[in-house]
Amino acid sequence: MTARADVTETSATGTRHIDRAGAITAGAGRFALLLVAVPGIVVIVLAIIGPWIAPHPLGATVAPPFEPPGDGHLFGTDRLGRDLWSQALYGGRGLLIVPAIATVATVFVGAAVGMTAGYLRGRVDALTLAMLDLLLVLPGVLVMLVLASGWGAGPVVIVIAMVLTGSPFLARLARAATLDVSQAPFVQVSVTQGDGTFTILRRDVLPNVVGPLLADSGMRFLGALYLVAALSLLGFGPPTPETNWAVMIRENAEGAGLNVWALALPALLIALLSIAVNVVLQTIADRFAR
Amino acid sequence: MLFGVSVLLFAATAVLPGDPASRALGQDATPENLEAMRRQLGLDRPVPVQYADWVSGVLSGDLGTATTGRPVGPLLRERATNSLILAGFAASLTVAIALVVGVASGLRAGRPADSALSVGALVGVSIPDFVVAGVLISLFAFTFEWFPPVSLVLAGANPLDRPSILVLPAVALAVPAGAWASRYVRAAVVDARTAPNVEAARLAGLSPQRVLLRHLLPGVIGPTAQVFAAATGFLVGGSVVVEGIFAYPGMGSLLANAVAVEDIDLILATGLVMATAVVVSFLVADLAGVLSNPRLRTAP
Repeated sequence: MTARADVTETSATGTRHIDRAGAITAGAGRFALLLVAVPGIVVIVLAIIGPWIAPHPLGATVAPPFEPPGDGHLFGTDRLGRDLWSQALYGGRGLLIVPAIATVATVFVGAAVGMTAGYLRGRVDALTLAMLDLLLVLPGVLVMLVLASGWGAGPVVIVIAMVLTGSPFLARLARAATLDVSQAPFVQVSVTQGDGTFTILRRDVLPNVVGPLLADSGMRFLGALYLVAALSLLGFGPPTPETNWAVMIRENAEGAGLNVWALALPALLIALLSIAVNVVLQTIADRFAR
Repeated sequence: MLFGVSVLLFAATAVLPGDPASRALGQDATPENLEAMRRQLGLDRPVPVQYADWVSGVLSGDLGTATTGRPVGPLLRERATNSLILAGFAASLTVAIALVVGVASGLRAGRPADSALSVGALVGVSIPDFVVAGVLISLFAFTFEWFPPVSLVLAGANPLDRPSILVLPAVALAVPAGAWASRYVRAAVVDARTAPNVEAARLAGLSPQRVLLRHLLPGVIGPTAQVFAAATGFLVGGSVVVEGIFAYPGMGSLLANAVAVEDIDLILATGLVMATAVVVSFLVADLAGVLSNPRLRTAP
């Protein structure tokens, strides 16, 4: 472990290349980003208000299975002859709410751990880094499945799995940023004044750490969405007739030859949602960086 | 490292509710034979003792017994081979995508081509592998019928006998991972373009290809090796889902089944193998970082 740290650290503070925030959207250009983000923002709004505006009730069979679009059904019907558009409008919230909660929890824990380690340095820092590296090699899906085998596949398990496997990325970012800023004069002034560690972290360090954290939280949201979707795809999804876009992909894949929208619509919605979340968070992060 | 992972995994399964003894007995569980079953399975001993027993078993090649009664070892070996073939295929594709897109984008930083590639990569990052899989299936399996929509492998057969079944799952895994890694390759290329050794090579009049291959790329590999190792982690996690979609008999589907029936020994062994794969890729990344950076070769 220590030998590894010695050869791979690319700078004296132990910051690795992977700790660079903002690389994800670098170079894309503001206008191009906006172009891909706008449809995604529409998707987010649809996901939230969807159940109120859906033309048919959840799980109602209205036509033969896998009918192509037309006949009052905007995108045709799915495996059980349910209106695809209505099902899609019902299937957004589940993919939005749990990942959003998981992301907030992950950012919170990651920031707290990373800032504490970066500020206190020394042994606390070394021990924290070792723990983070340990968690970093565990795939999120694996941790979630292990937890789900005991506790069942509920939202709490998803949030815990996400915090365990996602916060190490954020903690590393927060730690790197804290190491940089904690030597700054304004922090030293607070130390000299005798301010408490918590106060210093919250008032002086946090504003300088928020940027990189927000930039990376888009990827964490993707990770959380992936965990929710993975559970659904592996058959541990929400109880019927509840649905989400991942469930729809799983159920309707077989009928893609008959009504291609049955597979394409949920896939498109997930893609647009993910893109929008990433771009929006990155844009906010850029504001903080300036 | 692996020791830490094994402790974490074991601790997780020990802490979690759910009792293998009562599960094994099912309906006929009385307090007496429950007690006997627990003793037979060794569950009445302290957790550290159970852990020591399990680890010594793993070290001597005994991964335990699945709830079906089959030993975990041979079961896992067949699935792990299948997964390794798919993952190796997907990993090479990931590296290829990341290097081509990242270098092409980084060399044109700030120009329209960079913007287009960057947006493309962002879209690639944002699309989860199972969505890519869905799109690939509807396009290349149903519309064009070039590749099979499912990747079944008969027991005892080798997936390499029919390489066409590997194409769609490998591409589905590699697109998001490659797009993600390409963002870091781009950042490293932008840095390396202005590095003194690259400037010197360019001023010495070397051909652009030679500057790129001999002087620029080595400076990119070191910093991005860690990113590729992390991408391997994504591939391992993603393989659980993608193998499920394509009905490919790999470790991922084995793990999903093990979770469904709460087979602790199988979950532990599969988890350990998966974590080992990621640890090994981080070690390879460290090695690549050292080999590509002469300054690190003399480090103690």
